[in-house]
Amino acid sequence: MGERAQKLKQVRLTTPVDEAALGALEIGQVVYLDGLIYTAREGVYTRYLEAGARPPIDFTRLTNVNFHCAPAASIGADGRYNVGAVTATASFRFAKYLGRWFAETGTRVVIGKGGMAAEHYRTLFVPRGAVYLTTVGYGTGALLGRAIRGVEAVNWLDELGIAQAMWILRVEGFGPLLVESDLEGRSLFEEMNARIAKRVEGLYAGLIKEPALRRYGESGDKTEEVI
Amino acid sequence: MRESQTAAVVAHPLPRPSTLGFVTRLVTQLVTPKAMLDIDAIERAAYEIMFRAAIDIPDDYRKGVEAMIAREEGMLSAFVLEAMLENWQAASEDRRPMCADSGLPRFFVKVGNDALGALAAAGGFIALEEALRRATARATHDIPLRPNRVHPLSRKDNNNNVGVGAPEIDYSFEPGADWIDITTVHKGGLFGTDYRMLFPGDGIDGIKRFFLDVLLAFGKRGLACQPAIVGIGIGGSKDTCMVLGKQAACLRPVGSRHPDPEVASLEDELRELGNRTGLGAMGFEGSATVVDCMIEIGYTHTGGMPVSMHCFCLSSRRATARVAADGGISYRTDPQWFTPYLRREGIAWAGAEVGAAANEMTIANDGAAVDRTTGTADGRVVDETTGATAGESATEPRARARSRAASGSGR
Repeated sequence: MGERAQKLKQVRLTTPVDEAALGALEIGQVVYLDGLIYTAREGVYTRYLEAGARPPIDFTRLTNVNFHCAPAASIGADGRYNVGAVTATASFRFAKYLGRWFAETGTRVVIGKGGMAAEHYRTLFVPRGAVYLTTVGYGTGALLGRAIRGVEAVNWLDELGIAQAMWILRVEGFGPLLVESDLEGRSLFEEMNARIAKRVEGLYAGLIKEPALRRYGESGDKTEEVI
Repeated sequence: MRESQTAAVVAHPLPRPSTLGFVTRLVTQLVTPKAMLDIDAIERAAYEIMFRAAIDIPDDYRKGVEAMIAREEGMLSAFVLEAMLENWQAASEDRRPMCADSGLPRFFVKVGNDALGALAAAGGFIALEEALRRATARATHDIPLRPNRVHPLSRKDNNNNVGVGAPEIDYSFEPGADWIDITTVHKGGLFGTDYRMLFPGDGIDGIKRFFLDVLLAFGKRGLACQPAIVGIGIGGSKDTCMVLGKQAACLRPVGSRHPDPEVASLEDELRELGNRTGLGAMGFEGSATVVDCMIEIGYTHTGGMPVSMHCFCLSSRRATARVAADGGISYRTDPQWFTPYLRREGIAWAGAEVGAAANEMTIANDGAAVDRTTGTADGRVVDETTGATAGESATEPRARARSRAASGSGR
């Protein structure tokens, strides 16, 4: 652990994460997880929410932690899973699925890359009592891969392939993760962006106002975000 | 099984005591070139660099990040970078990939002009490309990498990172060399890349503005996985502009500089500018955004100045193998892709003297136009980028040309 990490508050959570533990989280804290987590990205959401399929294992009874991830993994001739590294993928793309997903699965913790737009915390996460943890880097694939103690199941492997299937992973000391959004919907990224926005105008001082050829939809306001 | 086949092939040309063996060898050498560079060696090399790229962060990049940690004042940004150092160590210790988004594995192959005979005897480019595809599939399974490659519409995944147009194989050539260099790069590709057609009137300011636009767009929340090696392509046509920037990001080590002093100084300038945005790792407050900036240029349309930008991430994965003519394989992390030959500028041709005279006239009339290729009296062409006779006098007119572009006078 680096010297700067020692100055940040560190929290250990066990899955399924309970109400009290969720309520104690504050943005900017470092989190390590123990227990079961499941992965879900495009393939899982569309298959579950749009095609109406139900996975062979009822993951909602096992864990309330959703990891936006596709592992670097392979399956041996003997059927054993070889999981090398795991890192998160950018979460903002999945916002459109999360409202129904929370309602149907009881998920309370989302782990991903880059967080969600601030309004999605307020409209999707806060009403369901869900928090967002971001992976660090990105990405600490080897550290997170080390923390995997076993693969409990892989749902829809044939239908979705290794990268998109739902992996149910048993983890120990899974981290470091950072609390990006808490139960009140505060966002670490939003706070950071607001501070950085104050410098943006000065950064462009002295440069041409705009290029000779403009583009449709282009924003001149660099304090805006592209997600 | 493959290993035993390989051993047989390698053992074949060793000296044998019998006369029959000597005659056999002599005939083999006469009929085929000294073809010890075999396809198994190429596949072994490609398989090995897939592991090295995925697992071991290149030293030049790691040292660049270590230097940034020492300077970083943002606590969260520094925390992130310290975690990355731990991650790279864990990857090397465990022999597991440093990042699960193992990108789009691809190859850059540089073929020595004197290795063509040996390559042809080993099955030629077709055998080489098959070997690279086999190595990709095997390494994807064995490391394992994430099988990222899917059909773009059906999303079909062969689970081995091989498919239509995958892995990509880019080629370049090298005079007077009898080896083949194979480089693999594993780069993610969703964020941090953009292209823009700028015009001479936009000038260097326009390039800086585009550079800042891309950094702010993708640096927030750390979508670009910065601090990055930022590669910038300037010139060429739209497709080559993208290729130049991509290759600049992926194939040049941190700390290297373009031989053209004007390009090199812009590399320095953009690196410093990029680290003043206020963004650090993950878009947290700080300064660690650009580990280094690499620019490659190509001659472009007289009316345009296309620019592309690419961010090679906190998992800047590249590894190179050199397969020598004798079948020996050596490994390194610097691809040595941009050789003087690749950046060559001129050509010796019959009309060189006429061309040179025309240039002199243009310079006399205009005082600003510059042609970097100069014909000499004996018909040789002096190429400035190789530094053969590049004089300081060449820099001055170029600076004038630059200020002319920046001031917006058309061409």
